[in-house]
Amino acid sequence: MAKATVEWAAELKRGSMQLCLLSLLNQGSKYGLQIINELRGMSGGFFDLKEGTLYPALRRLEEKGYLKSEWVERESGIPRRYYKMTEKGRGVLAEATGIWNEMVKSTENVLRSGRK
Amino acid sequence: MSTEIDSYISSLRRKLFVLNGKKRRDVLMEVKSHLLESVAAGETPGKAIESFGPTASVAKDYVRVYGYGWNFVAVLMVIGAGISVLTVPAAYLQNPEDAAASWGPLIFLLMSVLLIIASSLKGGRMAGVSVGSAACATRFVVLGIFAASGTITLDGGMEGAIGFVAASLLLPLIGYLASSVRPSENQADI
Repeated sequence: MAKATVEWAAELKRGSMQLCLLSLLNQGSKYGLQIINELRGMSGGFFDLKEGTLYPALRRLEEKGYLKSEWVERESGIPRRYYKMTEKGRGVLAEATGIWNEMVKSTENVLRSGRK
Repeated sequence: MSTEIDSYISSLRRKLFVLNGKKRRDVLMEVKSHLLESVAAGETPGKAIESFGPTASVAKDYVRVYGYGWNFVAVLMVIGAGISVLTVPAAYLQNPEDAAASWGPLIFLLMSVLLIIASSLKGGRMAGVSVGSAACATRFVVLGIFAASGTITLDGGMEGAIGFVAASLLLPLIGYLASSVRPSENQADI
């Protein structure tokens, strides 16, 4: 992939990542590795995150009060930290989804006019 | 635990020394849990570590989220206060016509400002304002000591004193304002 394409992709991913994370966690509580795998699977590999970038992004959303988390002990001895949505997060997701839909529609209109 | 994972976690711990102890332990536990789960799922420790990313960039992202912890901010406040002792232009306040007497303190004042800006940019608003406030308070305390001991009498007029007060009050404000140009805290680092 050309350097410019990589930069464009990173820029677009950056803009949509928080929305994707909130949307995934709106389905129920999940832990990091699970989020990475689901994100990768649902996006057909487009959101193939460097794993170390996901956790700070989750922590940032938690700091803002959109998520909360808790440790769950497991028989395997490896505890998991589960993240789940808060009411504030749900409100933000609803608003952000509306903005996203509007943006996609508007961008598509502009792109379509550019193709004519 | 694998030696590779062990040394990765140790390296990350060292790079996260600026965070609060509780936050740091929690972050390290999560990273370790992730790496161990990846290995349990069939990846090699080396591949799991590579997929997670270099400790320097991972630590940087966490510090960007949390900012500096109180322990580290306290160290910076002490350094800021130490530098600020040298920013009090006693000779200049005594005689504002002797401009050369202000150069030394001005250089230290510049160092103090740079420390405040760096603290704010790297460690967040709380760090910047705290270091700025420590520097400001130290300047007033030192001035008070000089005044009480008779070293400064302000016989030369009030203009130097007004400049001193204004510059001192600006320090916490600089800490506050610098944090607003900190790399966006709203962006996920993807």
